Amino acid sequence: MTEPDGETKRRVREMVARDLKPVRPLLRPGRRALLVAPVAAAAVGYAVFGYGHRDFDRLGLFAGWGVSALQWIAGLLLLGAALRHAVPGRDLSRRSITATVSGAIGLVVLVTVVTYAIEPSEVPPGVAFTFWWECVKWPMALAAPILLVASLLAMRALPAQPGVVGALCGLAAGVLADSGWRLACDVSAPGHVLGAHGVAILLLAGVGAVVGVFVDAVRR
Amino acid sequence: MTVHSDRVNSGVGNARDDETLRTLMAAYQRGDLDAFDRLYAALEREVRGFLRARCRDPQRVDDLLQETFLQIHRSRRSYLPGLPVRPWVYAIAKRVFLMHLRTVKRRESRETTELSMAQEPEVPAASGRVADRSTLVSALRQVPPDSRRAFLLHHWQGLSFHEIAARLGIAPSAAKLRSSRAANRLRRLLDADERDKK
Repeated sequence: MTEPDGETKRRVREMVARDLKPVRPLLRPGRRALLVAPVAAAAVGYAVFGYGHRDFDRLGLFAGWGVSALQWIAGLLLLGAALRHAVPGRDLSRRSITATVSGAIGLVVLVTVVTYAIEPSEVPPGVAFTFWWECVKWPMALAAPILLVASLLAMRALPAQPGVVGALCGLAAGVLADSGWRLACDVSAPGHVLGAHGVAILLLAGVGAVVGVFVDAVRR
Repeated sequence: MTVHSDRVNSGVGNARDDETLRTLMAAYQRGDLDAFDRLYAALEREVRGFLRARCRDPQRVDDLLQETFLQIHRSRRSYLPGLPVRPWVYAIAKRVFLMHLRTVKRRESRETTELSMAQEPEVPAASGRVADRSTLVSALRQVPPDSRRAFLLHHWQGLSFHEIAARLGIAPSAAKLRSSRAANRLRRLLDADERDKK
């Protein structure tokens, strides 16, 4: 049994009229990603100058700051993709998401290989777990504020897949934080970098997915 | 006029139509109620069609249509000026429908659990043919969710049709109709089951 014509419209109009006020449209995803840039820059700055940094003389300008700058820019682009996926009707195809995620992971692997080729350094004996824990804990701590700001920006847009958007935000936060952390960590052995820094990035993607779903449920 | 020129003209029409929608959406974001009215008038039919293709119950389609436009209102800031309006509207309608599906599934599973956990009422020996619990639960699962809900609220929880109508936000006659449809469906399913056993 349907309602009389116009009944739904009347009800909707009443509710809309009750709280209709001007709103400022969201910024484009790229511009919103730039809003996260100061937080991401602060995280990198704290990792390098607050925690301490590796020997830049041995690593060189390109393999040190140059590669980190590239990774940082890639992290922001990834965040832009996440924020775009959050906007209704602008969501990325499954293939694009797969390509984006693969690209991000591939970039981290490439940076690891390049760094190790230029300045090979291993984990000192007997402290493997301490180093591992330090390199999981710190990138996650540095990425936390980035993830928080990114998730809030993303969830304002009413994403259709909050879990996916959150995971992409987490991945982006991880890549951004790691762009600074790789300059703070003295070890460049791929086993350590991928096993600790890489795990931190993947954990951040998982945390991001949970945060996305949670924020979306609260918002609803 | 050739088919080709028809297509071209229709494309121009769509582009103009989309341009109008973008202008209306921008005015709506600035707080213009008249722009909302015109947007509603322009989109109501196609959004209703979109929802109807996914949901057969006309009453439910009305509810979903209302929820879609309210969601459009709540998230109007997420429309990015200059972009086509329709993909944004359809994405919201799809989300509203998926949320509805999730709610129905959760409710269904809760009702089924409540039913199977409830104490079995004592049945006098002379009451004739009584379906066993698992048969009944399995038959109930096959009844459409809306009808099953009205049926359970009436026969299981003992609510009147007026109370059910108030709870579900539908007319009392609709509540009665749903409950009666569920009863008929159940009867048919249980009869078929009885015949199979024989």
